[in-house]
Amino acid sequence: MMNSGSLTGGRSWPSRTSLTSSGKRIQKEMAELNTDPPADCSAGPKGDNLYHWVATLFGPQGTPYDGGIYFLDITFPANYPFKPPKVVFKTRIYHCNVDSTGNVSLDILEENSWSPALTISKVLLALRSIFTNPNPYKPQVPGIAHLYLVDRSKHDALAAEWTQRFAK
Amino acid sequence: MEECNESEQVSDHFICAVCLDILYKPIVLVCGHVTCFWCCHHSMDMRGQSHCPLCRHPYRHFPAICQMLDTFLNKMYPISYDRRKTQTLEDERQGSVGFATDIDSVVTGEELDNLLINPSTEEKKSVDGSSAGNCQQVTVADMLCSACKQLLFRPVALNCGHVYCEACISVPEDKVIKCQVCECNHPSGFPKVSKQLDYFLEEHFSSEYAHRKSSMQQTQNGNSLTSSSAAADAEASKFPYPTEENFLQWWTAHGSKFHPGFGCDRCGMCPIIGERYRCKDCKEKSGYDLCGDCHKTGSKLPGRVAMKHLYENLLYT
Repeated sequence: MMNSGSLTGGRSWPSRTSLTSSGKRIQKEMAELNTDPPADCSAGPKGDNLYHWVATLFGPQGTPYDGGIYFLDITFPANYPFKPPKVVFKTRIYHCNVDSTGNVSLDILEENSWSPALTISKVLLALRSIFTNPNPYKPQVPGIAHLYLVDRSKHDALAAEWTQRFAK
Repeated sequence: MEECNESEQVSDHFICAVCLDILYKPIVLVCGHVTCFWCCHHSMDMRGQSHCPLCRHPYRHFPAICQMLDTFLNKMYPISYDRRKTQTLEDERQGSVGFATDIDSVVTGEELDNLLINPSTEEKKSVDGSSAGNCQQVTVADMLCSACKQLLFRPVALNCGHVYCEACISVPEDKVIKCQVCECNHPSGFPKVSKQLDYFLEEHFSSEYAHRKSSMQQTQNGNSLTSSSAAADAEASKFPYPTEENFLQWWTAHGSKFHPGFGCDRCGMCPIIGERYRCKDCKEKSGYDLCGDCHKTGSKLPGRVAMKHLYENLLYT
């Protein structure tokens, strides 16, 4: 079985000096995000729990998501970075790779294609790229993917409407 | 605590991509990428083929710690290295680094360290005396090729952790590269140049490096560098890994020869495919295992993970 260490309940939160290796790595990423933040997104811990982050993404210009602000929940597993973080959209979005509960289908977030050398800022970059280039061949919502392939303008109009409704 | 007054600026070339900290007990993969010992160990797939965290290059053998780089980093960044050492020992004691693997490796700190720091190979002699100094003491002598004893030029590391110039490695007739220092076989095909290390050498020892470069160009030996990848391919076709589609077929053909979760403590093959020998009374939790080939050759080297182990009482399983 996996040793979930300090994350199990009943124990007090470990002091800074006895952080696990996953905690240290997350702290490093946090420091890096603060000193060198990537364009059009931000991320940081939700409260005092290092393993639970909130990220924001701004819809890129030239896409139907332009002007939208998207909130995401990021949960790190106890054995991060050897297992991928879980990313969930908290803002509704009309996108073939994001379902109604916010689950994202992104190849690098899958266990088999995740690499421990990837960081949250790289994940955010990948998420930004699916705004501009949705992947209709590996959809989370097949209906939207179909519309994207068949009638792009209708898809874009719907996506823009959802952006107005939910992401502003 | 020490982090606050740590003033060393560690070169980007020596930051491990997995823990984002200074490389500790570095190992060099066959693709030339360097990570920490534990970082690599934890990123390995204990049931199938492992991939490099950086380039996803597949590999089957967990390399040994690169002693040269270890000594070098210890000299170059004594404060950071010391901090990593205490951290890692603490993690190892708590067993918290043993997260992702089936191996619950509780290696006692001192034992591990003695074996790693004490000169098990002749290239390490003057570690302890100079480690307290600062990074100014780093000289070309710390970055020598194991064969030509000159500054490394286009460095490659073998599975056993010894570093050579790319041109100093000769591929013998039988296509299996052998380390000239420890006589271990290098099973994973011709290693790629470690770019991280190469860039650093070029930056840090620029004049010596340029000198080596020019002398290299003069001697231009047309070494056929790709020839030994054939050996690795042959091995791979003998014992293929399962894919999702052919799993059942694969299992009936090779399943009994496959030992998920167990790595060979000598050559690093993980998981062991083929015969497996396990020590009956090894006190360490991780145990001591050998693959068939390594058992035949017989060795007294300490294990990759089970460092305290002495070669005895092996049982065929």
